[in-house]
Amino acid sequence: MKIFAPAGVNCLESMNTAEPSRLISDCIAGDEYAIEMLVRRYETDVFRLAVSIVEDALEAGEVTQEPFIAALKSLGSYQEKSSFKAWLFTIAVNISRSHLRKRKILERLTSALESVLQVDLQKQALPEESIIQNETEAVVWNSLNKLDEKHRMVVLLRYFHDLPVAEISQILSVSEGTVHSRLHNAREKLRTELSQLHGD
Amino acid sequence: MEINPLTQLTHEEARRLVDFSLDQALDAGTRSVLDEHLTTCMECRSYAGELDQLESVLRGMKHRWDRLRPAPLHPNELGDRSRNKVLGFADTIVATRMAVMILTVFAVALGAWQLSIGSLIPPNRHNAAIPIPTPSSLLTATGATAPGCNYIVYRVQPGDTLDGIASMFSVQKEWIVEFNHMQTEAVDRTMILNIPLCIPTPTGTIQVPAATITITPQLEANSPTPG
Repeated sequence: MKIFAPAGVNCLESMNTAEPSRLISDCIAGDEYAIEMLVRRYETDVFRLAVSIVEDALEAGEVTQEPFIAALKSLGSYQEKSSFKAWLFTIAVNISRSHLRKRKILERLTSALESVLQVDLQKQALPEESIIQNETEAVVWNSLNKLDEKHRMVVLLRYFHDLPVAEISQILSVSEGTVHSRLHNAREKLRTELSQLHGD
Repeated sequence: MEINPLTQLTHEEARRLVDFSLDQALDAGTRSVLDEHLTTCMECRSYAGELDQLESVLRGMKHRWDRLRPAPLHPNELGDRSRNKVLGFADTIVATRMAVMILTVFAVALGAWQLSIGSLIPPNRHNAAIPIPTPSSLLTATGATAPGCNYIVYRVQPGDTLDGIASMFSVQKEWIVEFNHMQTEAVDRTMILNIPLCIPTPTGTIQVPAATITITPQLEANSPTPG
Protein backbone atom coordinates (compact mmCIF):
# COMPACT_ATOMS: atom_id res chain seq x y z
CA MET A 1 0.00 0.00 0.00
CA LYS A 2 3.03 2.29 0.03
CA ILE A 3 2.26 3.34 -3.53
CA PHE A 4 -0.57 5.48 -2.22
CA ALA A 5 -0.16 8.90 -0.69
CA PRO A 6 0.73 8.54 3.04
CA ALA A 7 -2.34 10.51 4.09
CA GLY A 8 -4.62 7.81 2.67
CA VAL A 9 -2.84 4.80 4.14
CA ASN A 10 -4.73 4.38 7.39
CA CYS A 11 -8.06 4.86 5.75
CA LEU A 12 -7.20 2.31 3.04
CA GLU A 13 -5.92 -0.31 5.42
CA SER A 14 -8.99 -0.11 7.55
CA MET A 15 -11.08 -0.53 4.43
CA ASN A 16 -9.10 -3.53 3.31
CA THR A 17 -10.42 -5.47 6.25
CA ALA A 18 -13.80 -3.76 6.41
CA GLU A 19 -17.09 -5.57 5.93
CA PRO A 20 -18.42 -5.52 2.36
CA SER A 21 -21.58 -3.85 3.69
CA ARG A 22 -19.56 -0.92 5.02
CA LEU A 23 -17.55 -0.65 1.81
CA ILE A 24 -20.79 -0.65 -0.17
CA SER A 25 -22.42 2.07 1.86
CA ASP A 26 -19.21 4.13 1.48
CA CYS A 27 -19.29 3.52 -2.26
CA ILE A 28 -22.89 4.70 -2.47
CA ALA A 29 -21.84 7.81 -0.57
CA GLY A 30 -19.29 8.41 -3.35
CA ASP A 31 -16.10 7.55 -1.44
CA GLU A 32 -13.44 7.05 -4.12
CA TYR A 33 -11.15 4.94 -1.94
CA ALA A 34 -14.04 2.64 -1.08
CA ILE A 35 -14.74 2.16 -4.78
CA GLU A 36 -11.10 1.34 -5.41
CA MET A 37 -11.07 -1.15 -2.54
CA LEU A 38 -14.28 -2.80 -3.68
CA VAL A 39 -12.87 -3.26 -7.17
CA ARG A 40 -9.58 -4.58 -5.76
CA ARG A 41 -11.33 -7.06 -3.53
CA TYR A 42 -13.40 -8.69 -6.25
CA GLU A 43 -11.51 -8.07 -9.49
CA THR A 44 -9.60 -11.38 -9.41
CA ASP A 45 -12.80 -13.37 -8.84
CA VAL A 46 -14.61 -11.53 -11.61
CA PHE A 47 -11.62 -11.96 -13.93
CA ARG A 48 -11.54 -15.72 -13.35
CA LEU A 49 -15.26 -15.93 -13.94
CA ALA A 50 -14.85 -14.01 -17.20
CA VAL A 51 -11.95 -16.25 -18.29
CA SER A 52 -14.02 -19.36 -17.65
CA ILE A 53 -16.86 -18.05 -19.80
CA VAL A 54 -15.12 -16.23 -22.65
CA GLU A 55 -12.07 -18.61 -22.58
CA ASP A 56 -9.65 -15.87 -23.52
CA ALA A 57 -7.47 -14.21 -20.93
CA LEU A 58 -6.97 -11.05 -23.00
CA GLU A 59 -10.65 -10.53 -23.65
CA ALA A 60 -11.48 -11.43 -20.04
CA GLY A 61 -9.20 -8.62 -18.90
CA GLU A 62 -11.34 -6.21 -20.89
CA VAL A 63 -14.59 -7.81 -19.77
CA THR A 64 -13.60 -7.59 -16.09
CA GLN A 65 -14.13 -3.84 -15.74
CA GLU A 66 -17.65 -3.79 -17.16
CA PRO A 67 -19.43 -5.62 -14.32
CA PHE A 68 -17.91 -3.12 -11.89
CA ILE A 69 -19.18 -0.15 -13.86
CA ALA A 70 -22.67 -1.65 -14.09
CA ALA A 71 -22.58 -2.70 -10.42
CA LEU A 72 -21.39 0.68 -9.16
CA LYS A 73 -24.20 2.34 -11.05
CA SER A 74 -26.85 0.11 -9.58
CA LEU A 75 -25.37 -0.30 -6.06
CA GLY A 76 -28.47 1.40 -4.70
CA SER A 77 -30.64 -1.48 -5.86
CA TYR A 78 -28.42 -4.11 -4.18
CA GLN A 79 -30.22 -5.66 -1.23
CA GLU A 80 -28.11 -7.03 1.56
CA LYS A 81 -30.16 -10.16 2.01
CA SER A 82 -28.12 -11.75 -0.79
CA SER A 83 -24.35 -12.05 -0.92
CA PHE A 84 -22.62 -9.17 -2.69
CA LYS A 85 -20.32 -11.54 -4.55
CA ALA A 86 -23.29 -13.51 -5.92
CA TRP A 87 -24.96 -10.26 -6.98
CA LEU A 88 -21.79 -9.06 -8.71
CA PHE A 89 -21.35 -12.47 -10.36
CA THR A 90 -24.91 -12.27 -11.72
CA ILE A 91 -23.97 -9.10 -13.56
CA ALA A 92 -20.58 -10.50 -14.59
CA VAL A 93 -22.13 -13.72 -15.94
CA ASN A 94 -24.54 -11.68 -18.06
CA ILE A 95 -21.85 -9.41 -19.41
CA SER A 96 -19.43 -12.27 -20.10
CA ARG A 97 -22.15 -14.22 -21.88
CA SER A 98 -23.02 -11.27 -24.07
CA HIS A 99 -19.32 -10.92 -24.95
CA LEU A 100 -19.19 -14.61 -25.79
CA ARG A 101 -22.25 -14.26 -28.03
CA LYS A 102 -20.78 -11.22 -29.72
CA ARG A 103 -17.49 -13.00 -30.26
CA LYS A 104 -19.24 -16.03 -31.74
CA ILE A 105 -20.86 -13.73 -34.30
CA LEU A 106 -17.47 -12.16 -35.03
CA GLU A 107 -15.90 -15.61 -35.29
CA ARG A 108 -18.51 -16.61 -37.84
CA LEU A 109 -17.71 -13.47 -39.81
CA THR A 110 -13.98 -14.17 -39.44
CA SER A 111 -14.32 -17.70 -40.75
CA ALA A 112 -16.37 -16.40 -43.69
CA LEU A 113 -13.64 -13.84 -44.28
CA GLU A 114 -10.95 -16.53 -44.06
CA SER A 115 -12.69 -18.71 -46.63
CA VAL A 116 -13.19 -15.78 -48.99
CA LEU A 117 -9.68 -14.38 -48.63
CA GLN A 118 -8.03 -17.82 -48.23
CA VAL A 119 -5.96 -16.60 -45.29
CA ASP A 120 -5.54 -17.86 -41.78
CA LEU A 121 -6.45 -15.26 -39.16
CA GLN A 122 -4.89 -16.40 -35.88
CA LYS A 123 -7.10 -16.87 -32.85
CA GLN A 124 -6.07 -15.69 -29.39
CA ALA A 125 -4.42 -18.31 -27.21
CA LEU A 126 -6.63 -19.99 -24.60
CA PRO A 127 -5.40 -20.35 -21.04
CA GLU A 128 -5.74 -24.15 -21.48
CA GLU A 129 -2.05 -25.03 -21.35
CA SER A 130 -1.77 -23.70 -17.83
CA ILE A 131 -4.85 -25.64 -16.71
CA ILE A 132 -4.43 -29.07 -18.32
CA GLN A 133 -1.47 -31.12 -17.20
CA ASN A 134 -2.30 -34.75 -17.97
CA GLU A 135 -4.50 -36.98 -20.11
CA THR A 136 -7.26 -37.34 -17.52
CA GLU A 137 -7.56 -33.58 -17.20
CA ALA A 138 -7.55 -33.20 -20.97
CA VAL A 139 -10.48 -35.65 -21.22
CA VAL A 140 -12.44 -33.82 -18.52
CA TRP A 141 -11.65 -30.39 -20.00
CA ASN A 142 -12.65 -31.45 -23.51
CA SER A 143 -15.88 -33.08 -22.42
CA LEU A 144 -16.61 -30.02 -20.27
CA ASN A 145 -16.30 -27.84 -23.36
CA LYS A 146 -18.57 -30.20 -25.29
CA LEU A 147 -21.41 -29.64 -22.79
CA ASP A 148 -24.05 -27.10 -23.71
CA GLU A 149 -23.76 -23.70 -22.08
CA LYS A 150 -26.18 -24.18 -19.19
CA HIS A 151 -24.53 -27.43 -18.07
CA ARG A 152 -21.01 -26.09 -18.53
CA MET A 153 -21.87 -22.99 -16.55
CA VAL A 154 -23.03 -24.87 -13.43
CA VAL A 155 -19.90 -27.02 -13.39
CA LEU A 156 -17.68 -23.94 -13.77
CA LEU A 157 -19.44 -22.11 -10.96
CA ARG A 158 -19.54 -25.16 -8.70
CA TYR A 159 -15.98 -26.40 -9.10
CA PHE A 160 -13.84 -23.62 -10.53
CA HIS A 161 -15.45 -20.88 -8.47
CA ASP A 162 -16.33 -23.09 -5.53
CA LEU A 163 -19.83 -21.70 -5.08
CA PRO A 164 -22.62 -23.45 -3.16
CA VAL A 165 -25.77 -24.52 -5.00
CA ALA A 166 -27.83 -21.74 -3.38
CA GLU A 167 -25.58 -19.02 -4.81
CA ILE A 168 -25.43 -20.66 -8.23
CA SER A 169 -29.23 -20.69 -8.32
CA GLN A 170 -29.21 -16.98 -7.48
CA ILE A 171 -26.58 -16.13 -10.10
CA LEU A 172 -28.29 -18.02 -12.89
CA SER A 173 -31.82 -17.11 -11.70
CA VAL A 174 -33.00 -20.73 -11.68
CA SER A 175 -34.27 -22.89 -8.82
CA GLU A 176 -31.91 -24.94 -6.64
CA GLY A 177 -33.59 -28.08 -7.96
CA THR A 178 -32.66 -27.07 -11.49
CA VAL A 179 -29.05 -26.46 -10.44
CA HIS A 180 -28.94 -29.93 -8.81
CA SER A 181 -30.36 -31.58 -11.88
CA ARG A 182 -28.00 -29.73 -14.26
CA LEU A 183 -25.04 -30.65 -12.08
CA HIS A 184 -26.22 -34.27 -12.03
CA ASN A 185 -26.57 -34.40 -15.83
CA ALA A 186 -23.23 -32.69 -16.41
CA ARG A 187 -21.41 -34.97 -13.97
CA GLU A 188 -23.01 -38.03 -15.59
CA LYS A 189 -21.59 -37.03 -18.98
CA LEU A 190 -18.15 -36.23 -17.57
CA ARG A 191 -18.11 -39.44 -15.49
CA THR A 192 -19.03 -41.53 -18.55
CA GLU A 193 -16.20 -40.02 -20.59
CA LEU A 194 -13.79 -40.50 -17.73
CA SER A 195 -14.77 -44.16 -17.19
CA GLN A 196 -14.35 -44.76 -20.94
CA LEU A 197 -10.79 -43.47 -20.67
CA HIS A 198 -10.06 -45.93 -17.88
CA GLY A 199 -11.92 -48.72 -19.67
CA ASP A 200 -9.67 -48.49 -22.75
CA MET B 1 -34.35 -35.36 -0.44
CA GLU B 2 -36.63 -37.16 2.02
CA ILE B 3 -35.87 -40.80 2.68
CA ASN B 4 -37.65 -42.95 5.21
CA PRO B 5 -34.85 -44.52 7.33
CA LEU B 6 -36.74 -47.80 7.50
CA THR B 7 -36.99 -48.37 3.76
CA GLN B 8 -34.42 -50.11 1.59
CA LEU B 9 -32.87 -47.99 -1.15
CA THR B 10 -33.03 -49.04 -4.76
CA HIS B 11 -29.81 -48.67 -6.76
CA GLU B 12 -31.35 -45.75 -8.62
CA GLU B 13 -32.22 -43.94 -5.38
CA ALA B 14 -28.81 -44.67 -3.92
CA ARG B 15 -27.09 -43.17 -6.97
CA ARG B 16 -29.25 -40.04 -6.86
CA LEU B 17 -28.35 -39.67 -3.19
CA VAL B 18 -24.64 -40.15 -3.85
CA ASP B 19 -24.82 -37.43 -6.51
CA PHE B 20 -26.92 -35.14 -4.32
CA SER B 21 -24.53 -35.52 -1.39
CA LEU B 22 -21.73 -33.96 -3.48
CA ASP B 23 -23.52 -30.61 -3.42
CA GLN B 24 -25.44 -30.64 -0.18
CA ALA B 25 -24.90 -32.47 3.10
CA LEU B 26 -27.42 -35.26 3.72
CA ASP B 27 -29.19 -35.40 7.06
CA ALA B 28 -27.88 -38.03 9.48
CA GLY B 29 -30.73 -40.53 8.91
CA THR B 30 -30.41 -40.49 5.13
CA ARG B 31 -26.63 -40.65 5.37
CA SER B 32 -26.72 -43.82 7.44
CA VAL B 33 -29.25 -45.48 5.08
CA LEU B 34 -27.00 -44.63 2.14
CA ASP B 35 -23.85 -45.82 3.89
CA GLU B 36 -25.57 -49.10 4.69
CA HIS B 37 -26.50 -49.53 1.04
CA LEU B 38 -22.97 -48.70 -0.10
CA THR B 39 -21.39 -51.32 2.17
CA THR B 40 -23.48 -54.05 0.55
CA CYS B 41 -23.64 -52.82 -3.07
CA MET B 42 -20.38 -52.89 -4.99
CA GLU B 43 -21.83 -51.26 -8.12
CA CYS B 44 -23.03 -48.20 -6.26
CA ARG B 45 -19.74 -48.04 -4.40
CA SER B 46 -17.78 -47.94 -7.65
CA TYR B 47 -20.21 -45.29 -8.94
CA ALA B 48 -19.47 -43.17 -5.88
CA GLY B 49 -15.75 -43.80 -6.42
CA GLU B 50 -15.95 -42.60 -10.04
CA LEU B 51 -17.73 -39.42 -8.99
CA ASP B 52 -15.13 -38.82 -6.29
CA GLN B 53 -12.41 -39.18 -8.89
CA LEU B 54 -14.17 -36.75 -11.22
CA GLU B 55 -14.49 -34.23 -8.42
CA SER B 56 -10.83 -34.52 -7.50
CA VAL B 57 -9.82 -33.99 -11.15
CA LEU B 58 -12.02 -30.88 -11.35
CA ARG B 59 -10.74 -29.54 -8.06
CA GLY B 60 -7.14 -30.22 -9.13
CA MET B 61 -7.75 -28.09 -12.22
CA LYS B 62 -9.26 -25.38 -10.01
CA HIS B 63 -5.99 -24.92 -8.12
CA ARG B 64 -4.21 -24.05 -11.33
CA TRP B 65 -7.17 -21.90 -12.31
CA ASP B 66 -6.66 -19.96 -9.11
CA ARG B 67 -3.24 -18.86 -10.33
CA LEU B 68 -4.83 -16.88 -13.15
CA ARG B 69 -4.79 -13.22 -12.29
CA PRO B 70 -5.75 -10.08 -14.14
CA ALA B 71 -2.84 -8.15 -15.60
CA PRO B 72 -1.27 -6.26 -12.69
CA LEU B 73 -1.74 -2.53 -12.62
CA HIS B 74 1.42 -0.52 -12.97
CA PRO B 75 2.16 1.41 -9.73
CA ASN B 76 2.48 4.72 -11.64
CA GLU B 77 -0.82 4.13 -13.35
CA LEU B 78 -2.33 3.29 -9.98
CA GLY B 79 -0.93 6.50 -8.52
CA ASP B 80 -2.54 8.47 -11.33
CA ARG B 81 -5.75 6.62 -10.70
CA SER B 82 -5.81 7.38 -7.01
CA ARG B 83 -5.42 11.06 -7.83
CA ASN B 84 -7.99 11.15 -10.62
CA LYS B 85 -10.26 8.30 -9.75
CA VAL B 86 -13.56 9.81 -10.83
CA LEU B 87 -12.03 10.82 -14.14
CA GLY B 88 -10.55 7.31 -14.40
CA PHE B 89 -13.95 5.71 -14.19
CA ALA B 90 -15.45 8.16 -16.65
CA ASP B 91 -12.62 7.29 -19.03
CA THR B 92 -13.36 3.58 -18.70
CA ILE B 93 -17.00 4.13 -19.54
CA VAL B 94 -16.10 6.25 -22.56
CA ALA B 95 -13.51 3.71 -23.69
CA THR B 96 -16.00 0.85 -23.39
CA ARG B 97 -18.61 2.77 -25.35
CA MET B 98 -16.03 3.63 -28.01
CA ALA B 99 -15.02 -0.02 -28.29
CA VAL B 100 -18.64 -1.12 -28.61
CA MET B 101 -19.25 1.56 -31.23
CA ILE B 102 -16.18 0.56 -33.25
CA LEU B 103 -17.21 -3.10 -33.08
CA THR B 104 -20.73 -2.19 -34.23
CA VAL B 105 -19.41 -0.20 -37.20
CA PHE B 106 -16.98 -3.02 -38.03
CA ALA B 107 -19.66 -5.72 -37.85
CA VAL B 108 -22.15 -3.72 -39.93
CA ALA B 109 -19.50 -2.85 -42.52
CA LEU B 110 -18.35 -6.46 -42.70
CA GLY B 111 -21.96 -7.66 -43.01
CA ALA B 112 -22.66 -5.18 -45.81
CA TRP B 113 -19.48 -6.25 -47.57
CA GLN B 114 -20.47 -9.92 -47.30
CA LEU B 115 -23.90 -9.15 -48.76
CA SER B 116 -22.39 -7.18 -51.64
CA ILE B 117 -20.01 -10.06 -52.43
CA GLY B 118 -22.93 -12.48 -52.33
CA SER B 119 -24.85 -10.43 -54.88
CA LEU B 120 -21.86 -10.04 -57.22
CA ILE B 121 -21.42 -13.76 -57.84
CA PRO B 122 -24.00 -15.35 -60.18
CA PRO B 123 -26.01 -18.02 -58.35
CA ASN B 124 -25.47 -20.74 -61.00
CA ARG B 125 -21.72 -20.59 -60.99
CA HIS B 126 -20.03 -23.69 -59.50
CA ASN B 127 -18.24 -22.38 -56.52
CA ALA B 128 -17.98 -25.26 -54.08
CA ALA B 129 -14.68 -24.20 -52.56
CA ILE B 130 -15.90 -20.81 -51.36
CA PRO B 131 -19.14 -20.91 -49.34
CA ILE B 132 -21.07 -17.70 -49.78
CA PRO B 133 -23.49 -16.94 -46.93
CA THR B 134 -27.00 -16.29 -48.18
CA PRO B 135 -28.48 -13.01 -46.98
CA SER B 136 -31.43 -13.45 -44.64
CA SER B 137 -34.68 -12.08 -45.96
CA LEU B 138 -35.83 -11.34 -42.40
CA LEU B 139 -33.16 -8.74 -41.71
CA THR B 140 -34.79 -5.43 -40.78
CA ALA B 141 -33.37 -1.95 -40.37
CA THR B 142 -33.19 -2.24 -36.58
CA GLY B 143 -32.10 -5.88 -36.79
CA ALA B 144 -29.11 -4.95 -38.92
CA THR B 145 -27.48 -3.09 -36.05
CA ALA B 146 -28.46 -5.61 -33.37
CA PRO B 147 -25.59 -8.16 -33.77
CA GLY B 148 -23.00 -5.44 -33.17
CA CYS B 149 -24.73 -4.28 -30.00
CA ASN B 150 -23.65 -5.38 -26.60
CA TYR B 151 -26.75 -6.08 -24.59
CA ILE B 152 -27.61 -7.40 -21.16
CA VAL B 153 -30.42 -9.83 -20.55
CA TYR B 154 -32.26 -8.41 -17.58
CA ARG B 155 -35.02 -10.18 -15.68
CA VAL B 156 -37.50 -7.62 -14.42
CA GLN B 157 -37.61 -7.53 -10.61
CA PRO B 158 -40.68 -6.70 -8.52
CA GLY B 159 -40.95 -2.93 -8.16
CA ASP B 160 -38.92 -2.14 -11.28
CA THR B 161 -39.99 0.60 -13.64
CA LEU B 162 -38.78 1.17 -17.17
CA ASP B 163 -37.26 4.50 -16.12
CA GLY B 164 -35.46 2.77 -13.28
CA ILE B 165 -34.04 0.05 -15.51
CA ALA B 166 -33.01 2.59 -18.16
CA SER B 167 -31.17 4.74 -15.63
CA MET B 168 -29.55 1.69 -14.00
CA PHE B 169 -27.83 0.76 -17.27
CA SER B 170 -27.65 4.40 -18.38
CA VAL B 171 -29.48 3.89 -21.63
CA GLN B 172 -32.50 5.73 -22.99
CA LYS B 173 -35.77 3.98 -22.25
CA GLU B 174 -36.85 4.44 -25.87
CA TRP B 175 -34.01 2.14 -26.93
CA ILE B 176 -35.25 -0.56 -24.58
CA VAL B 177 -38.80 -0.17 -25.90
CA GLU B 178 -37.57 -0.36 -29.49
CA PHE B 179 -35.06 -3.16 -28.88
CA ASN B 180 -37.67 -5.37 -27.22
CA HIS B 181 -40.53 -4.43 -29.54
CA MET B 182 -42.62 -3.37 -26.55
CA GLN B 183 -46.10 -2.00 -27.11
CA THR B 184 -46.29 0.01 -23.88
CA GLU B 185 -43.78 1.20 -21.31
CA ALA B 186 -45.27 -0.98 -18.60
CA VAL B 187 -42.98 -3.69 -17.22
CA ASP B 188 -43.88 -6.58 -14.94
CA ARG B 189 -41.88 -9.28 -13.23
CA THR B 190 -42.60 -11.95 -15.86
CA MET B 191 -40.65 -10.00 -18.46
CA ILE B 192 -37.09 -10.57 -19.57
CA LEU B 193 -35.69 -7.51 -21.28
CA ASN B 194 -32.65 -7.16 -23.50
CA ILE B 195 -30.92 -3.97 -22.46
CA PRO B 196 -29.02 -2.58 -25.47
CA LEU B 197 -25.67 -1.08 -24.54
CA CYS B 198 -24.97 0.18 -28.03
CA ILE B 199 -25.20 3.60 -29.54
CA PRO B 200 -28.02 3.50 -32.09
CA THR B 201 -26.96 4.09 -35.65
CA PRO B 202 -28.37 7.42 -36.88
CA THR B 203 -31.11 6.82 -39.41
CA GLY B 204 -30.51 10.03 -41.38
CA THR B 205 -28.10 10.32 -44.26
CA ILE B 206 -24.47 10.94 -43.58
CA GLN B 207 -23.60 14.63 -43.90
CA VAL B 208 -20.80 15.10 -46.38
CA PRO B 209 -18.77 18.15 -45.43
CA ALA B 210 -19.63 20.96 -47.83
CA ALA B 211 -16.23 22.58 -47.83
CA THR B 212 -13.40 21.01 -49.77
CA ILE B 213 -9.95 20.91 -48.33
CA THR B 214 -7.19 22.33 -50.45
CA ILE B 215 -3.60 21.89 -49.51
CA THR B 216 -1.36 24.78 -50.35
CA PRO B 217 2.31 23.94 -50.30
CA GLN B 218 4.13 25.90 -47.65
CA LEU B 219 7.16 27.43 -49.18
CA GLU B 220 8.06 29.68 -46.28
CA ALA B 221 10.99 27.51 -45.35
CA ASN B 222 12.64 28.22 -48.66
CA SER B 223 12.06 31.96 -48.65
CA PRO B 224 14.85 33.96 -47.21
CA THR B 225 14.07 35.31 -43.79
CA PRO B 226 15.41 38.58 -42.61
CA GLY B 227 17.78 38.51 -39.69
